[in-house]
Amino acid sequence: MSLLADPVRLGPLVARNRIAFPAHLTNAAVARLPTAQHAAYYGARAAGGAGLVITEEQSVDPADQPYEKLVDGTDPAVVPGYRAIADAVHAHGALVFAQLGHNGGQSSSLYSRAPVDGADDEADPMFREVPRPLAEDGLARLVAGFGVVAGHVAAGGLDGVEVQCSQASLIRQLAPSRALPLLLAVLAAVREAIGPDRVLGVRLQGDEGVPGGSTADDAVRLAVAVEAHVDYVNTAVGVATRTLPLIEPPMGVPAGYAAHVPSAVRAAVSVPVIGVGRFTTPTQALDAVRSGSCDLVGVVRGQIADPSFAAKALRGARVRRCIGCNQECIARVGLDQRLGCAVNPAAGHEAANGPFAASTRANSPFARVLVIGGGPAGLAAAVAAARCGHAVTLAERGDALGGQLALAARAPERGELVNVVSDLAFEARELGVEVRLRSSIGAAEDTEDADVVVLATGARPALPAWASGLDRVVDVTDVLAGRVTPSGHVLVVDAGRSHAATSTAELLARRGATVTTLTSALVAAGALAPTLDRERWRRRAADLGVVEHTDRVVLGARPGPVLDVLDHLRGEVAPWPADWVVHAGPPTPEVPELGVPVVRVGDCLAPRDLGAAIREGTAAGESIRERSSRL
Amino acid sequence: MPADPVVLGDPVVLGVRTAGSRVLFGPHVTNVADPRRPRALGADHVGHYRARAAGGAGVVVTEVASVVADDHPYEYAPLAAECADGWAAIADACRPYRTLVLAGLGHTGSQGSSAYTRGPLRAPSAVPDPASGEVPAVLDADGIAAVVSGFARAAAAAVEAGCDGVEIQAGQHALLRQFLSGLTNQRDDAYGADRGLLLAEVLGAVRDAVGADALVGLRLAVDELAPWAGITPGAARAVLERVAGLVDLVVPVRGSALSVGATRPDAHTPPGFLRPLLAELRVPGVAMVLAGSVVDAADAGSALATGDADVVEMTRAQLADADLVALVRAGDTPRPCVLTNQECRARDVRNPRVSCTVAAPEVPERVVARRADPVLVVGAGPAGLEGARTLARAGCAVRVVERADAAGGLLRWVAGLPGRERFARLVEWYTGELSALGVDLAFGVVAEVPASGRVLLATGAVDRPGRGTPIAAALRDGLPPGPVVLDDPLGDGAAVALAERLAGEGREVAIVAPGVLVGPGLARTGDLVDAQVRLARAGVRRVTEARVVGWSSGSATVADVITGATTSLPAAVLVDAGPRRAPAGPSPRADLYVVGDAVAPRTVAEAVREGRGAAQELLS
Ligand SMILES: Cc1cc2nc3c(=O)[nH]c(=O)nc-3n(C[C@H](O)[C@H](O)[C@H](O)COP(=O)(O)O)c2cc1C
Ligand SMILES: Cc1cc2nc3c(=O)[nH]c(=O)nc-3n(C[C@H](O)[C@H](O)[C@H](O)COP(=O)(O)O)c2cc1C
Ligand code: SF4
Ligand code: SF4
Repeated sequence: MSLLADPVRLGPLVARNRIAFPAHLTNAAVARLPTAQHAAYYGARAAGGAGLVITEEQSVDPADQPYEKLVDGTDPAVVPGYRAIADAVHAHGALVFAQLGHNGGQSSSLYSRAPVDGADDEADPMFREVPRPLAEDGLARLVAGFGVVAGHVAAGGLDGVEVQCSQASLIRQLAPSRALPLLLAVLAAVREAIGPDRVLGVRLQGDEGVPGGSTADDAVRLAVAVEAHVDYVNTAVGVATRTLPLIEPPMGVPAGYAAHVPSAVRAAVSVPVIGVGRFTTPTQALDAVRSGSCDLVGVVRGQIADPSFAAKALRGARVRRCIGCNQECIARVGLDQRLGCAVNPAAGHEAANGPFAASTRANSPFARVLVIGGGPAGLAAAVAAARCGHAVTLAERGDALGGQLALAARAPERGELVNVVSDLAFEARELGVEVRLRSSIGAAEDTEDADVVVLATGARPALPAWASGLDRVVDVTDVLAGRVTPSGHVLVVDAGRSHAATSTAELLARRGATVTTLTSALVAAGALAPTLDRERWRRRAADLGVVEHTDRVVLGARPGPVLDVLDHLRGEVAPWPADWVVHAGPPTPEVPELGVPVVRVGDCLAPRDLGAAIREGTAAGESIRERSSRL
Repeated sequence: MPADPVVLGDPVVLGVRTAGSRVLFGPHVTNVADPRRPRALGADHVGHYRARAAGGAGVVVTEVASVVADDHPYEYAPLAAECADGWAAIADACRPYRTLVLAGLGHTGSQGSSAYTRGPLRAPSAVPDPASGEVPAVLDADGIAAVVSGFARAAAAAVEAGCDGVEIQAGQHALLRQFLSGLTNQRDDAYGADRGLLLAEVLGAVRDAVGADALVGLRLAVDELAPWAGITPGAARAVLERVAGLVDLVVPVRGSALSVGATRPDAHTPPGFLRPLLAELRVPGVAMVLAGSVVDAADAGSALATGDADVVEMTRAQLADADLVALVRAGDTPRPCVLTNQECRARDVRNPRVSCTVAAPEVPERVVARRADPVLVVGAGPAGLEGARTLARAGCAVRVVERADAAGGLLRWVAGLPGRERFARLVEWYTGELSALGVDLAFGVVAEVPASGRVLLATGAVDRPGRGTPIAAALRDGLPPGPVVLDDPLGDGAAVALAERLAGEGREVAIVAPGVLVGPGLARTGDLVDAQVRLARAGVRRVTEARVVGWSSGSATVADVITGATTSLPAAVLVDAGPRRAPAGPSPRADLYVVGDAVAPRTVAEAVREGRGAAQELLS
């Protein structure tokens, strides 16, 4: 991994290695100011070995507020927050820059209660508000705003500024003839404010992903035009309010999917170039640098999932991988909630002292812990308890670890889910957890020996009442586990809020079945939207001929099977015959009675998702304090 | 001689207290908390309630506070344990006006959010809420005991802080309703055998905690609109009989998790929809409150005069005009709520602060120093009307010129759409106000902007050249016969309304929208789901995730935005429901203000806000 370990000069300063943590909104701001959480969050990645941290976007205009928790960098009160961030990152030897930007027309008046200033009067497709086109005096104010915020950045002791001209940017929205002079003026104003001893970079858009949108050639042109004024160029693809799945691609999109942009830019300029995009393992990061596509690798979600990604990469160790589920990073941030991570419960909560703090208590008194259930909740509990120094036995009824997640991972495009199981199982082994497969649940001698019993038995499939006694009406898990092989015309009933129905529909369609899905919701595959999976699913569904119906409630069923289906918008009932019916709905918690006190975690408490399972398992494992207390 | 009928400005005795009027300001999500103390009631809450108390509200129920910390339904949801100082400040602020303050107390159960606690939701049974789909954990005996004691502790704290009492939530978003309902309570223990048990225990504990000197109100779902398993008026009556001895007033409400919009519907539901149920629900000794889209003083007065209700809840009416009671007492007309729910529904993931389309509270109405030079207001849409009223009230000479032959601008046509009829009342109200203020309104005048002098330019937007008939022109001039396709790139709800009207006239209609649903902007108003139902039943085709890419010889070509696949739709007429654009304006100068859609086409809220704001600047 030596290439990754090479220091790299960025204008006046040197980053200690090639791994960067690029900008991303965390929603940790309060009252539009940076908080202790920001400092702890960035500090954790610096402590974990990153060479360069770039903060989330700081806005240069108080009226620019597309998101509630966007920091207003023009407020002088940001300076102490910047200072805290600088101190937290510098304490661990990394550089830290602030990203500055203005969202232009990619915004609304919801918070500002003022007209949106845009490049023109075209409404943004997501915010759907017609902006007021910014005139030249407005552009001059914008330049001044960049200067003011850059001054705060310098006053706070941060090492540099990155000007955002990529996913959500007024500069990018302008026609090239206006964008370049504006960008040059902005760079001059920022340089003026930060002086020669700090780093100035720019993040350029290289593929908007819309017809007629900008491409890598445009990024190259702009990079060449500003090269003399910047110390590095960062790259991005996608427009935040239009082609978001390009920016934060979900599971199934390969590492380095955006490498064409930094490659093209790097070939044209001599300043260092950052490449970003779904790098989730040290090997992928190394390949990106080795192949010459970039000088630094931006790893965002990979370092959210494992804050020590960089250090582990440099020493050749295994990381806890980001699986691209987007469940707790993108989806939560899109809902104005604090960023989190499905596989790392501490992410987004680094400053809290609660059970999610990334702490290890190796010295806490030793207890004997029995974890029942080898799904993600049980594995997480075992790992956390073992890391705290307890003696842990993990008992799993089946002949493999992973529970429902291992089944879910069998579906097309969902294979990365299994990485969670293998990474946690690896950590468990490293920590000396005794794993017993094919173990009967709660054998008396085991529970008697344990000081603490963690119940992570998950949930079992539950078919609705109308399915009882009918042939060829099965649960999705029956299909994924290979217990049945539906063929012919298959109706998939989506009565849940997960990937289960679409995953199974796709699996069966690929095997040649004619698949129709129905849901009572107004939108088909709606659960896939917040994680940015839905668009790719729609394309694959169209290719596979899967037909999706909304607004349909199953009222009953008869042998055949034939479903009686209500169109609840129109109030009409019709029979729907099929060769097979596959049902995806919420399962029922599996709660064996053991006769001893237990801590319930994950789906056996309430069937939810992977993030809840790992969070609760981790919390249970970390909160075991001594051998006598059963929590 | 019979006594004079009761009117809304009359005092009313509630339990051991007397309220200064019979108008109640109901609990609602505000999102006005200080983000540094997100679960406390802050200074902006105090201002919000003080304004209604000063305007004559008899009872204020504060934003519902969760009684236990693991209920955190939205980011700025108050938590009882953090509300003591806020309750005290609100009670102090309202007391001088003889306004009773009741602390709203609740627990949202499965209708809460796990986003902030990152723990499971808690509910009577493992029934997922239809909105979130999240399966809750089942409350065990300890959990139930914590809920009961949480209500009691919170009630004691509220009264200790100086509130006149509490209002316990068993309404729309409420764990106590979930226990009462067969839709959500499938328990096999005592709380399932007797679904009213938890409510009775909670009210008993609350009464014990606050004693006989404080008021206990109950907000109760009386019709879940799901008679197969949900709460029905008959069942609700039985509940009320059971708890009558514990409560002083009851606010019956409608709707449940399956029909979230039903509690505070928009104008598609006729105002005062619960009034016919009150007689069936009335139990002796409990004051009866009429709630649900009561927005006109006349309707409120009638419900009081007939004795159907003892108190009327007018929440949106007092968001639209905080001085409602005072104005009615003085014989004046309050600013009318238009019931489109565009700005007052704050329970939204983006945490918007509660606002109001017609009141535009971000620019408070205030008496501004008078400046005598006259102002010319060009345009009599809402921006111009609000500006003219603000100027005239300060004593400034105002002349309004309007090129059309009546006031209202676009609102004249918008008010012809289903669900938007009440915008006509707003225009009527403005013209009444202006005529009382003696403002000169000249119609049929196309004004050149004078080269000098003070001007408020409120001329609105113009149609954007594009494909087909712009929606504003369609409203104004009507459409030629034949099937209609509405191309709706933004989805603010206007195309939905026009489609409904056209379908009602017997036309073949389709709406083409790029998103997953037509009318996505209706999510904000609570009408999104109902709109789909109305369109489906009216036979309107909803073509989603699509864009119109061509239109010729009676047919429109439509492409899927993701796959690119094309289809065609019959379209003798193509309506472009996309946004209009601001006209090219005169060159800027210090004494000329441009406001409303003339700046950028948006909504009435911006027009009112900017009209008032510019007028205040012209006055200062
Ligand atoms: C929650 C989230 C918010 C983001 N916000 C920003 C932003 O404010 N500015 C920016 O330049 N990029 C932003 N990004 C994009 C990231 O910098 C990066 O390009 C993207 O996550 C792809 O990298 P990854 O695959 O390593 O996660 C954001 C990413 C995430 C996950
Ligand atoms: C077919 C199928 C697909 C699933 N897909 C996901 C998914 O994409 N993300 C997720 O968080 N959970 C998903 N789940 C649920 C998790 O697998 C489940 O919540 C988790 O394994 C529970 O952990 P535990 O059994 O250790 O308590 C899926 C379940 C099934 C049956
Ligand atoms: S939530 Fe999922 S996609 Fe996001 S960082 Fe964690 S593992 Fe990666
Ligand atoms: S926003 Fe509309 S519905 Fe709400 S109070 Fe104001 S006028 Fe009434």
